[in-house]
Amino acid sequence: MTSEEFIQNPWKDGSGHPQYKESFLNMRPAPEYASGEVLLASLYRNVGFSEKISEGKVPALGRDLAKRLERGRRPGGEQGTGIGLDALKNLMYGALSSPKQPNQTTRRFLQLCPLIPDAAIYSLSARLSANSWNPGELVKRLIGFGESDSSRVDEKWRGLFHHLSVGANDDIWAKFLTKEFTSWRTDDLRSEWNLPESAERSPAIERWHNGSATIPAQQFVRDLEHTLFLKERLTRRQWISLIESILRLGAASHVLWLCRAGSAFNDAITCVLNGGTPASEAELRRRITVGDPFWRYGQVAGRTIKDNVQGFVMSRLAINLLLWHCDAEVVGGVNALSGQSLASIPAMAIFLTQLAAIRGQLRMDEFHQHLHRAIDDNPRVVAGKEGIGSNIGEFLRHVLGQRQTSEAGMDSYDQGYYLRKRGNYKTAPWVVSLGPVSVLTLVHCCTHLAKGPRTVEDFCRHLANYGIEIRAQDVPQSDLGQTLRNLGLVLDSPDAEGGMVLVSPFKSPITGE
Amino acid sequence: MQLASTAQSSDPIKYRAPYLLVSRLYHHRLFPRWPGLDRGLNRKAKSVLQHDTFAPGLERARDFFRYLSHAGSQARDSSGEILSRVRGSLGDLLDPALSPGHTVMFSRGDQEFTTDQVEERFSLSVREGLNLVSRQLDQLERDLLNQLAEADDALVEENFPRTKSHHARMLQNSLRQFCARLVKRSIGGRQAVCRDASYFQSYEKALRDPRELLDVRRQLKKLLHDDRNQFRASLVTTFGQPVAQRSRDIVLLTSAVTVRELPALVSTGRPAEPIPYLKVDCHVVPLTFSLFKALREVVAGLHDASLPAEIFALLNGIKSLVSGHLVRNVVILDEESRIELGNSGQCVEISGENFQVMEARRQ
Repeated sequence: MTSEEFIQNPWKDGSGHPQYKESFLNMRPAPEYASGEVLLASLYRNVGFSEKISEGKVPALGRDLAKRLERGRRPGGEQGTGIGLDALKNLMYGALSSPKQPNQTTRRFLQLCPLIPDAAIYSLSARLSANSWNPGELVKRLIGFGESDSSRVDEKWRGLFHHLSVGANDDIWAKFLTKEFTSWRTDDLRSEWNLPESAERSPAIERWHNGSATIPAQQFVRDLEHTLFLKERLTRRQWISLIESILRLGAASHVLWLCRAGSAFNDAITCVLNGGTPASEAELRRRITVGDPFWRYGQVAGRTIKDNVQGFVMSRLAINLLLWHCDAEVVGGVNALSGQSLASIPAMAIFLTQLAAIRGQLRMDEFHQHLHRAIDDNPRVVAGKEGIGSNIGEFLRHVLGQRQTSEAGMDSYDQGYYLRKRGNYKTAPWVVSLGPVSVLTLVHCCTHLAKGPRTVEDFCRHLANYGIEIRAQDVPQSDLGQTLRNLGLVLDSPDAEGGMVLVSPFKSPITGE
Repeated sequence: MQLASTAQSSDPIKYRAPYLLVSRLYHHRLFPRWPGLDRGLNRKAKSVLQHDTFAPGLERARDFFRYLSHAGSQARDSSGEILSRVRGSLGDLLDPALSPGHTVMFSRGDQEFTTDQVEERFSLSVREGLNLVSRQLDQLERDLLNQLAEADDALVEENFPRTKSHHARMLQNSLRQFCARLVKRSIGGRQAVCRDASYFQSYEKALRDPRELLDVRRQLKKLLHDDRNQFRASLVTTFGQPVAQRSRDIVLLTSAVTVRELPALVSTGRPAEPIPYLKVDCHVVPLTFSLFKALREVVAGLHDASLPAEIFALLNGIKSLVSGHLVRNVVILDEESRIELGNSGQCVEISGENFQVMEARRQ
């Protein structure tokens, strides 16, 4: 492909340069709309179900179950638990259902809370049609990014399966539901939910770990594990909401970090093309590491999402265009610059140095012309209002934001959010604010392995690893301080930084764990 | 002292000297909160003080209100972690000025004087009040109150034209309020009199003798269970989520969980536990003062719904943790427990790995 062809349709999947596609910068799978529960349900499907229950097939399976429920006939004449049909229907459309979005109120479809694996067979795909994206794949990649030892990725992936399964020592309600749901499975789905073979890691992630930087995914992997082990101490619904909360934060922070990394690398390239000295490896690592926060606690979120998305879209366009230019204008193509030019931070640094060396060979005027033409032709995409940018924005907004619904009595269903509406009106802005379940989860993760007491200062540092900034002295005045107090997660202590010690929510004070 | 003795008589800040000296006393340092006595209607009423400059009593009254506005602005300007705590939570908890009326302030011979009585005397006049408590106060406080008594005498309604007399009355009230508060803090601060004094005493007793906790324990148990003494573990709500609507509510009903005192750990080489602990099912709950007080208040007739938010959250937290243990405890589940399915009229009886769905027993 030439650069001319590239700018004809720069956003098409196939138009990316192979070097970029193989880099960690390439956001795969491309995020679209997903709520926290969609993320979790999709994770169930990725961990334990086969292709028979892929994302695209879920809506059809859900419709099928709804029909069978109407007819009141279990496939194969199974008995189930003996619950009456009316009671079961009430359960499916009442207690077990998860609230629909305000614009879906009139649509009739099953939406079940992903309490047990079977619930994920019938509902909560990202779209209600057959062409959904795969959010669980994103979580799988996230684990790959967060765990540097590839052998342990498999172990983690299998551990996830074991924890998510409904075992002998599980919540009685989960056992009851599993028994009932199993009786509604069709014959071809009878043997589903099996231990995954292995979580093969894509080569892009393998290469990233060569000289990687500190990223939110690492914290996520540690926190996910701590949260999984809480299963024994909570009801299934409580535990699931904790898992969902940590998945949401991990996935969103990872996507934000990818946006940041892309735009940081683009800045470094622009600097070299303008005649500056190429950034060193250490400098590049500093810029890509999650050092500066993405958000400040309490700030309005819209601007941050938009800025990050625009930065990502722009970087994707500029980096790909440059690679195609190098292919055409540098002797030996872009591969002559470095073997895997964008695979890892060291390789990126080498790429920048070599780019500086061959700067003279590039036709810069033509490059800039192409770039401007691509921007002018697709102004709405570059502004993040449609296409890939808009999709990422939507993902971040929905995965972090508190679930909105117009169903009566369900407004407080979602407590594991990270953004909430400031005000009660429809166009109220979203602000960064942690829900009670999110706070519980993070306090648990922060205090879990601590030898001594943990303070609010440590909690702020923990949040900073996910790119959320709040200073310890601001905590008591913020609504975070209020939530911490209300949940009994802090004790006043004159010895602690910020005056408060964190109390682990799931430990007894005397007998310990 | 220096300010009082060396400053020129015309020095505009000389009037502050007695107030500053009194405010440096330990108990007044501890409780520096004053209601806004120079704000609102009082601000307007202060105009009456401008009329007659010759009466020494009025001069005192003027000094008093000048000092109040000065102290108010000082308090607004000063900030800091310790100051805000002293003004905030510490003041709320321990301020003798907020002690209930029946608390005994001091005794003379075999006669006891309560907060109410002290306030009553001061509401008659500052001099009356001062006569009663004079011997209980410091010299500095006595001097200040003598000055204020002069101001109080000068503020009688007859000294003012009829159109102004209600203003004078208002100022007099504020002044008497100030004096009563000052005296209550001075005496109460030394006698450990405060709003929750009786609760503090019984809490301290409970630390040594767990038998004191019997009613608290019973109350906690009652709060954790429903009116039929069954434990309701919600299976479809999570932390921070309110109880689901009746039709959506799925609960596990089990027999009551135990609430016991945890015997204090006696270990050599370690200081004794500073607070008592209760054991709810298998979870240890520290019986903090706020929880203790809340439970005692419920015993005394407070409605459950009026408990402070933090106690409510704490109870919910305990319930959640106990639920987490119950839902997978085979022994308890096999006993008298069942899952209630909303208002469908059906419930699930559990026996081992088997379930039996049946019509719920009518209540």
